[in-house]
Amino acid sequence: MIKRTLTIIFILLSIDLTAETYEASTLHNAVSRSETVLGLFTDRWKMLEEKNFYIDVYGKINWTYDFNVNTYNSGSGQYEAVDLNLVRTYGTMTLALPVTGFRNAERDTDLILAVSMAGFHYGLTKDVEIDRGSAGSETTTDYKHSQFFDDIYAVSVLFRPYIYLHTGLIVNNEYVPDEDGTMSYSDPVNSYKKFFISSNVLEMLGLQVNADKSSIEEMKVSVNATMVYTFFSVNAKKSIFLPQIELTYEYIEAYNDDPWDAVWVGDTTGKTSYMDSSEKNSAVLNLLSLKLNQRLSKNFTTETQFTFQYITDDIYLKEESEKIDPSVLKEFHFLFAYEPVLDNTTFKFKLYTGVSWYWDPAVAIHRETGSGYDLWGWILGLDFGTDTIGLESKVVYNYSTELRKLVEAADKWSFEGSLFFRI
Amino acid sequence: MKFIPAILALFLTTTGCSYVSDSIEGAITDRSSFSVNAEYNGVNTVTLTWDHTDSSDNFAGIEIYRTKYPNDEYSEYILIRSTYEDSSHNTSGGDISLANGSTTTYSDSDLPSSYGIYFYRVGFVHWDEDPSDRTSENGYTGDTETDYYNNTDIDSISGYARVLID
Repeated sequence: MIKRTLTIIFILLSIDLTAETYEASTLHNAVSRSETVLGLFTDRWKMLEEKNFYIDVYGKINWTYDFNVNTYNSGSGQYEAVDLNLVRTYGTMTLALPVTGFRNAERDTDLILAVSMAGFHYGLTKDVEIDRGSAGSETTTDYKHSQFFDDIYAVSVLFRPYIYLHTGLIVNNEYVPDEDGTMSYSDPVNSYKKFFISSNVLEMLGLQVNADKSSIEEMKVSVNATMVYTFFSVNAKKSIFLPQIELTYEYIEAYNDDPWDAVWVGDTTGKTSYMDSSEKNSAVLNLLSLKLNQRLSKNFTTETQFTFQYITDDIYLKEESEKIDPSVLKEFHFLFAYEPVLDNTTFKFKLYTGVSWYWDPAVAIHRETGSGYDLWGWILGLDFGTDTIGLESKVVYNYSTELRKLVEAADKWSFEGSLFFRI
Repeated sequence: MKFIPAILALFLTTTGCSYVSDSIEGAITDRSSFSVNAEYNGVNTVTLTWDHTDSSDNFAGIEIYRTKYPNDEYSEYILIRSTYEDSSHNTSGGDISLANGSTTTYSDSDLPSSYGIYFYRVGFVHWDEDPSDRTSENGYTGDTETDYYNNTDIDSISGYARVLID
C-alpha cells in the first residue's frame, strides 16, 4: 500500500509539458559529464572525514520524470517520442580502521586507513501501467536504452587533522537491456577504467583531479578561508556562529565541439556533428565560487553562494549560430534552514528551502517554458537522523545545483531520497 | 574489531555498489525482473512459459496481463487471468493453477478479437502483510477473494513477451 501511495504521489506530481524529444545518448552523455561517481564519492567523504566510525553505508536515489525520448515501439515498428524517467542511484560502503585509535577531540591527531566502494548507476526507465481489475492499478518499470554502472574502489589515508588522501580506480560499464525490458549484467557493451586522486590539507585546502591517460579533464581547488583564519589567528575562537567561507576554483574542459554540446567553439563555419576531432575547437570553463554558511541563531542557518565564470573562447549557440555573450555570474543560490542546535543528543534535524539562479547556454535548448539562458529555481528538503542512522529527502525544480549536474532537467521535477547507516 | 576480517571479506566479495543501489531502486519501482516467452499456435491459443517461481509465505497468486490495444508496446496492460474470476474484467473464470507459485506455464485461449501484435506479462502477487498480521485491524475480512482484491500488490513482474496474433 505504501509503495502504491508513493507511486501515485510521484505520478500526480509529474508535469507533462510539450518538450524537446531527446536521443537517449544525449541524456546519457549529459549525466556522465555532469555527475560523476568521483564527485559523489568526494562529497560523501567531506562529511565522513570528521566522524569517528568503523562502517558507513549510504544510498541515494534520484528520479527525474517525463523526458521525451526517441524510442522504438516494437508493436508499431516505428520510433516515437516516449515518456521516460531518468533514474540515478548512488551507494557507498566504507570500512575505516583507526590505526592509532580515534582522536578524542578535533584538535587531536589520529591516523585512519579506510577502504571504500562507491557506485553510481544511471539510465532511463519506462513506467508500465497494469490494470489488475478489482485489485486496482499498479505501475511497474522496464529498463529502456543503455544503463551505466560506474564504480569506485578506493583506499584512503587520513592523518587528521592535517591531511586526507584518497586514491583509487574508477570502473565504468555500459549494458544494453534485453528487448523485453529486463537486463543481465554480463558482457558490457563498453567498459573503461581510470585512476583518481583527491586530497585535503589541514581542512583548509582541497585538491581534486580527474584525469584519463592523456589529460586532465577536471580540476578543483578549494580554500576554506575560515579554517585558515582560525589556524593562523592566535586569539580566534571556534564558534558555531563564525561564518564558514569557502573559495573554490574549478577548471573544466566543458566545450569541445562535441555532438552533444549546445554550442560551437571559436566559430561556426563548416562545423557539423560529424567532423573529425582535428577540426574541433575547445574552450575551458573557469569557475570561481564564493560560498558563505552562516548560523543566524540557535535554530536558523543560511547558505549563500555566488559562482562567476570565464570561458576561454567565443561560443555560439548551435541551433541559431548566434554568438553568446556569457553572463559573468554563472550561479547564485540562497538556502534558509531550520536547523536547531540540540544539546545532549546526537539527533540532527534540518528543514530547508531555497531559491537559485543558473546560467548555461544549454538552458535555452532544454527549457520547456520561456526563453533565454537563465532559470530561477527552488528546492525543499528535509534531513534528520543521528550519528548512526539518517534520512534525507528533497524535491527540486530548476535548482542551480541540480541543473549544474543535468541541465536537461530544466523545467522538470526531481525527487531524491537517501539513507545512511553508520557504526 | 573481531569482525573486521569478516567485513573485509564482505567488501572483497560484494558486487559493486552501483549494482546494489540499482537493485534497491528496482525493488522500489517493481522493475521487471524475469523473462517470459509467448508462442501463438496459429489458431486460437497463446502459450506462455517462464522460469520464475515463488514459494514465499506471502505469495498470493500469479496474474497474466496483456496489452489492451494491438500494435503498441506502450499500451496499458489489462488483467486477463488470475486465480479468481474477477467479474469487473469479465475474465472467463479464474484458473486455480495460478494459485500455485511453482506454475511456469499458462495457455491463453481467450484471444482478443482484433488481430495484431500484443504483449504479455506475468506478475507474481503478494499479500501486503505477513501471515500473522492478516487481521481485521489490517483490513482483512477473512474472505480470501475479497482480501485478494484489497490487500495484495505485485511483488515481481516479467518483461514483455511479444506475439503476433493473426
